[in-house]
Amino acid sequence: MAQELINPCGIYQRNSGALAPRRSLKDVKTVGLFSNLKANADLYLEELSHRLKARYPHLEFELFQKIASEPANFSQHWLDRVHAVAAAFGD
Amino acid sequence: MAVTCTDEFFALGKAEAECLGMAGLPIAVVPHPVAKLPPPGVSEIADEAIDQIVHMLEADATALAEECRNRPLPKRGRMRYRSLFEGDFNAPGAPARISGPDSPEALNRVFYQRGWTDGLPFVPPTPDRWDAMLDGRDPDEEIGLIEPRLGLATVGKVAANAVMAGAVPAMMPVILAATRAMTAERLNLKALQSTTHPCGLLTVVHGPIAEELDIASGTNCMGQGVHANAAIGRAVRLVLTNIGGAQPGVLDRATMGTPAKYSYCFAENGEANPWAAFHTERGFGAEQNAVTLCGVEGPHNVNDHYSETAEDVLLTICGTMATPGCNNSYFHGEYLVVIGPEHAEVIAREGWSKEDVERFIIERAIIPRWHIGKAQMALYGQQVPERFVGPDGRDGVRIVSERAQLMVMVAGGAGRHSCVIPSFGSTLSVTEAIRD
Repeated sequence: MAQELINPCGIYQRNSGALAPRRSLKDVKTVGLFSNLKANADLYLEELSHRLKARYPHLEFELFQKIASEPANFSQHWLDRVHAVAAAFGD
Repeated sequence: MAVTCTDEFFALGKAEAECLGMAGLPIAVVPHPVAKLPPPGVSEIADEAIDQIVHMLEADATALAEECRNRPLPKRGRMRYRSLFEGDFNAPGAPARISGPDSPEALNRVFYQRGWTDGLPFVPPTPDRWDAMLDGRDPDEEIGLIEPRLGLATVGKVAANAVMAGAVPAMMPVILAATRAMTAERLNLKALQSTTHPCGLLTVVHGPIAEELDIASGTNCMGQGVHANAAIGRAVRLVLTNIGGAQPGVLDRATMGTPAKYSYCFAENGEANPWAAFHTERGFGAEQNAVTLCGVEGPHNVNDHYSETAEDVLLTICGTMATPGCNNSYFHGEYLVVIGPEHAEVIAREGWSKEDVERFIIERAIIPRWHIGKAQMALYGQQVPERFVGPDGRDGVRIVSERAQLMVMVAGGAGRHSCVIPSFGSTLSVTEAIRD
């Protein structure tokens, strides 16, 4: 036997964002490093930048930090400068 | 963008990306936890991730998105993950009515397996009960999107969850007001719902409706045994789960969680309150009904049976508040202080106003320097240097630095207890009118 029930789930509106087109890192000037300021996030991104620099010596890096749990308040300066971003998320 | 995430948080990262319409967001997965590693360990993690990162920054975007969308959980991860959007129940076009087994045991099992309950038996949301809960309201009236899954809260969806929670129709105005409050940006609900911090969503009810609905404001008001408190708080939780999508383990990533996530609701004790009701500080009339929604921990008790002066009682409260382990120590959100009637009487009989109380707490609630480790002190220096007491915080760090970071209310019954309730920190409470 079955009974009729009201569906309790909220209906989401599914968005469909696309990834930004990628460029070869040979053609990228500045890579943004986006840190959530969790312990070791900055260090990890720094280590990553060293490895990227070893492969692509022309690359420059621009760090952006935000404290975890707070929405990121990106500066237009940072957004305008970077052409690719490596981000740290979680713990 | 290429995101790096530890395997424990991969499910959350993937789910949040999916909620924002970016199911194909590239996420490089590394072993958890990075946070506790010494520098050589972090270097090894970077070695492990670098090829993934380069690939994610350079690969063809369409192919990369497809690859990442279909990426399974890494083997090291302990979290189960299934797409939040694979089900037939929350997608656009999902049926408004569903079918379930008649047997209460079987129905509970089905809802539980779908992640729609708090783990306890619920009242089946049958059309008859739902109609009664709606009480003539338009079920399609939209309230707003509930973070983090961005599910649309309608009056009908809220009513279904209110039925499940065991609420009665008279409670709907309170539950609807709480749901409206969830949509306020200042609450930062997305972070509240998905954080590792143990915060629940507390609903405090103000105004005459508290008495009309028999919402406890006195003895054991934060405890068990009163239907209105239990059902309203539970309905709020089910809205957060079923509309907001905060299912434990995927979008709700609390390290330990808190019993306050089952149900967390009380009313201000108007009779015992020597000061004005809290909602009047936020522009409401004393006779108006309102709810205040706060993203907070469970209550921490303040036992002081002996102090007979305002200053002494408040020193005990200050000492209980000022701990380095609470989020308020480095965020600028509010800290809730609920003063018990007998403590409030001691404080008020000396003519102290609520403003006096707040100023005293700002001045005297200081985390002792010897309780603060080096890393925590560095964090305070970065986040709240204005709270330092003495040069470089030599004499401690204040737990709050301005009145806007404090909420003071009176509740509870007989006995020499108060409680302090730290918040998630990066959140501001919302006071919302209760409408018919």
